[in-house]
Amino acid sequence: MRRYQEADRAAAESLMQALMPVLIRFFLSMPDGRLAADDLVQETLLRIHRARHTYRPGEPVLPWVYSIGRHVRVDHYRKLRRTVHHEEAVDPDILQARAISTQSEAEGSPDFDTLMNYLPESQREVLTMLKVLGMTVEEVARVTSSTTGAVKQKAHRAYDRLRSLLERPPAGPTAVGDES
Amino acid sequence: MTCQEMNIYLDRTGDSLLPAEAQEHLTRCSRCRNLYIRMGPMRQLTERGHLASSGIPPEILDDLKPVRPVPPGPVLALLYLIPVVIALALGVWMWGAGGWQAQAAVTRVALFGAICVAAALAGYSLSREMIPGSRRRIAVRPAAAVAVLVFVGVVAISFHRQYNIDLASISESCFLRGLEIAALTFLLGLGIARHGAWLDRAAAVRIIGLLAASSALLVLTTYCPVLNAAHVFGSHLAAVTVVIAASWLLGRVVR
Repeated sequence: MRRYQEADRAAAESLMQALMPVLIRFFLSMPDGRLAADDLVQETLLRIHRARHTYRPGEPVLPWVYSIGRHVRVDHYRKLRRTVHHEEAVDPDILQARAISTQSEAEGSPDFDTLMNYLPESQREVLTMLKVLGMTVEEVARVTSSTTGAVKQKAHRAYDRLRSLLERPPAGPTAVGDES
Repeated sequence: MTCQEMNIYLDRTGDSLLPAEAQEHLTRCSRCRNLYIRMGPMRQLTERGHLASSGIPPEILDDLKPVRPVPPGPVLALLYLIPVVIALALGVWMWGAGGWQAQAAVTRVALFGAICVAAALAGYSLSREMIPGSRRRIAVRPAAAVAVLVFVGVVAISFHRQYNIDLASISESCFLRGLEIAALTFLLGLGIARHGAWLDRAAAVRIIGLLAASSALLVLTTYCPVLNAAHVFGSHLAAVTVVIAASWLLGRVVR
């Protein structure tokens, strides 16, 4: 990274080559980033290049890279929302019940990817970074521009919501856990 | 162990072994067991798709120039406070420091302490915003809320003097001067921060707006000798509110 900042062409090429699979994995892990992953990777590499002076030697590279990638994804998401605003609004609860019901009939219970879609965006993002990308709480805090406490709070709320979603039958009241 | 306590172990990444009490909880609690089992294969989510990248964008290699890394976070935060110092110096030079002299020592410490904390928090936030992936150790919002409460509380408790002068015209003057100082600080702030990452332009503009608002309040509190709560709320804090609202709107525009 330091040699890239010093305009070493070989270092720039090898760094970009190394970052591409990392970024592809990052965007594939996010539901709203899968369809346009290649475009998002290209845009992220360009932004990394423009912001390369903001990397400070000695600091971890991946949170810096993911943070830039996260902003690219958020911008893409906003743009997407503006272009699909005319689509029909559907009650998320109805969608949720339908999805869970369909999954339950097919496989016995919904898959985790389906359930993740029913988490609020901020919780889904944190949980994806923790559980799919294998980042630590500290790294997630750096990437999402928040504190470790805020990350833990979001993750714990997500766990609580997922517990409820997993135990909730297609129709009827929410079951109570063995212990809480 | 409760489900809430189990959440701490669910935060862990990798395949590290759970402690005995967590394992025991999983054997007894079907909710946590179900969740824990489901989260195991989540890493496989990214292995579903195959994607060949288009390669390195040509603009990167064509535009390869050496760059100097930004200074460390604390230095950057201090750099972002330079506009506030310039605005304060200019304010004292043009309008004096009547407010500073009129206040009691305890009031002075509380008011200027609160404003300086607010300005420092804005500088800190801007330095974090301009460096992607930087560590945030301070929860800025609660700290800023405390600073605002201290300022409002001290003014409400200790600014009770009555004056036989036209407070309305003085209030208007203070309000306009507050806006002038804020505009100056905002422009200087934009100038100093232009070398940052600017990934979230809306957030950056809003933080610079907070810096400008702190600067305006600092200058007004330093020069204005009118120790009347209605005047401070109606002009000084009104100017601050307008600056924050304007930067918020500007943030929406530039997003």
